[in-house]
Amino acid sequence: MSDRLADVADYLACLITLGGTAGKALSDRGRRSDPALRYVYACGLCLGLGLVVTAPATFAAASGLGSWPWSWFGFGCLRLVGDELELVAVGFLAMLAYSIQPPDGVRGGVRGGLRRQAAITAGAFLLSVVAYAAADPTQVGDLVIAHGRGRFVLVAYIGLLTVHLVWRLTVFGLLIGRSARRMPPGALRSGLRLMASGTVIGLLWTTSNVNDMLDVLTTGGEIGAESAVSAVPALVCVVLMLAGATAPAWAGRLTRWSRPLRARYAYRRLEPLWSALRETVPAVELLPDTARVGRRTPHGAQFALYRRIIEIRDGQLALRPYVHPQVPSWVAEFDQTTGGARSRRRHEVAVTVEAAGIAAALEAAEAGHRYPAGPSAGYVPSEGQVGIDEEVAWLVKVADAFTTSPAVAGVRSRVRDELNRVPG
Amino acid sequence: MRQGDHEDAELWRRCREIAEALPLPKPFEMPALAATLARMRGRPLELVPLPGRSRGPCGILASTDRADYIGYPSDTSVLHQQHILLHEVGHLLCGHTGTTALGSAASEALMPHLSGELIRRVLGRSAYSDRQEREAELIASLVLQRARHRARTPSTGVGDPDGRVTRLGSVFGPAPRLRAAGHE
Repeated sequence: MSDRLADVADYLACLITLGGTAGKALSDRGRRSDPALRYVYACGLCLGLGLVVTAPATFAAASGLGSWPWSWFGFGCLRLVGDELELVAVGFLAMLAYSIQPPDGVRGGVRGGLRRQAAITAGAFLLSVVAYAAADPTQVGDLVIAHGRGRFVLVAYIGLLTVHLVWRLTVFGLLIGRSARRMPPGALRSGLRLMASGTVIGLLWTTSNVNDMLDVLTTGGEIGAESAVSAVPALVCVVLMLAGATAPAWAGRLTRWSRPLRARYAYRRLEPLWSALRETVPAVELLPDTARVGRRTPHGAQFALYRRIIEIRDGQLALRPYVHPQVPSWVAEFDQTTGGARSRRRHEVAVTVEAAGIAAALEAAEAGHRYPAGPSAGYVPSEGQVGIDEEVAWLVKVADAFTTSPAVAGVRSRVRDELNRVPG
Repeated sequence: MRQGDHEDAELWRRCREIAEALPLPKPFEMPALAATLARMRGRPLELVPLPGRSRGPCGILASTDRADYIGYPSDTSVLHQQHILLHEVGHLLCGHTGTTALGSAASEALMPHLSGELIRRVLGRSAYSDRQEREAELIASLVLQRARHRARTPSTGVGDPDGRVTRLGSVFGPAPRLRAAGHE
């Protein structure tokens, strides 16, 4: 069961890594010569192959294929091949992190940093191959077994790999995390943060190596293939890394697809408020069917929503003389009576006052009654409400309060009662 | 195609052309746009906030021999103020004529700025049944839509002294081909 889970996680992680890397390479047409991108592709390729090689099912399949002159070589060296592929992959990861730093952000310059990283990877690669050969382990099924002094050499081999993995992942995580902190908000920063999170999960992935070392020391052998405990973090790590590396591409698409949907949803939520205003002030409508006419623009749904906002605001301006000057105090009174003020925040009260002002003005306009004292009492500008998105969010709340708030209903009936008592 | 539809399509085409040709400051702010327009037209353009209690049209364009004045209500949201200002800018760009009579409410609001100047044209933002008003309103809507979508386009180089954002964008951001296709 555990092997099956490890197989699924490993092969899935491999598919995601290789597929994602190929997808990124395809979408990078026109800039693939950038060395940083080559490190991305090389890292993805090595990691994907390393994951497929170390899956338990691959070990099981390879164990029946005969033996080679040296026990650790040939089909018996899957563990070594898988480890070395992962070692090279994190080496490329560290080189990627250096290659995207500003020239003065790396001691000795970016080129010097890259040369150092390449030398470290090459040194760790050679040293680990020599250590594995010196340990001369035997592979039986998915077990890698060392004998005599070989067991200590095998422990040193796993220790070397672990130190290398932790070091390179830390370098990558720190450099990417530092870049994310200096980045303006957006998909690029989110992507860098996802990659930095991926390195943290990658570090968890390496903790299984400690178990392997203990197993070798106590029993002389270890399971060469990935276990479920290490394959699942591996899957999470590659998903986060890949999602981060491609975030600006998919986040942009996601936003482009979701924006018209959100605009249509907000448009519908504004409908009751807009309809009420339009019925009383028909002149606010630019064209009879804004949603249809909006299709003439490249962003039809957003254009229609924009027009709805402007028409609501025009309606509010036209109704200024009809806003009862007592609306804010009536809302406060209502809140005190019902205990609503304690549970509502300041901006929620402002939303209710604005909605109540419109409701009161509509009643007064219908009765043809103007209030000379307080023409603008119904509008309370919201802090930070400067862009279209903020305005939409605000007016959607006003529209909701207009139809559902008991305070607004209370103000409306109070105005109606007052107008019934005082003739025109 | 019905005559009305044809006129409608023509109105949209003309407004789109004008809205797209207008140079927009970055970031989009009305005083900067007014300065650009004043430079382009070779005459001052003043933005005059109207007091909250003023009645009559919610935006006014008054032109004299010396300058253009745009009055806008101060008691509405920033977006609405921008829209009203752009509506009057639309009148300027289209060369609408209007009247020469300044209403009492408008004159009360604008008079301190217009003392002694001969008014050549007045346009107020009111009903859209008039073609000139619809044209100006459509231009205002299209310009602000354009400003909004342009603001979403990631800027490169701005606020990026060490080139870090540009460099990371060149590796993890959309490829140049997609970037060009994905934004207006």
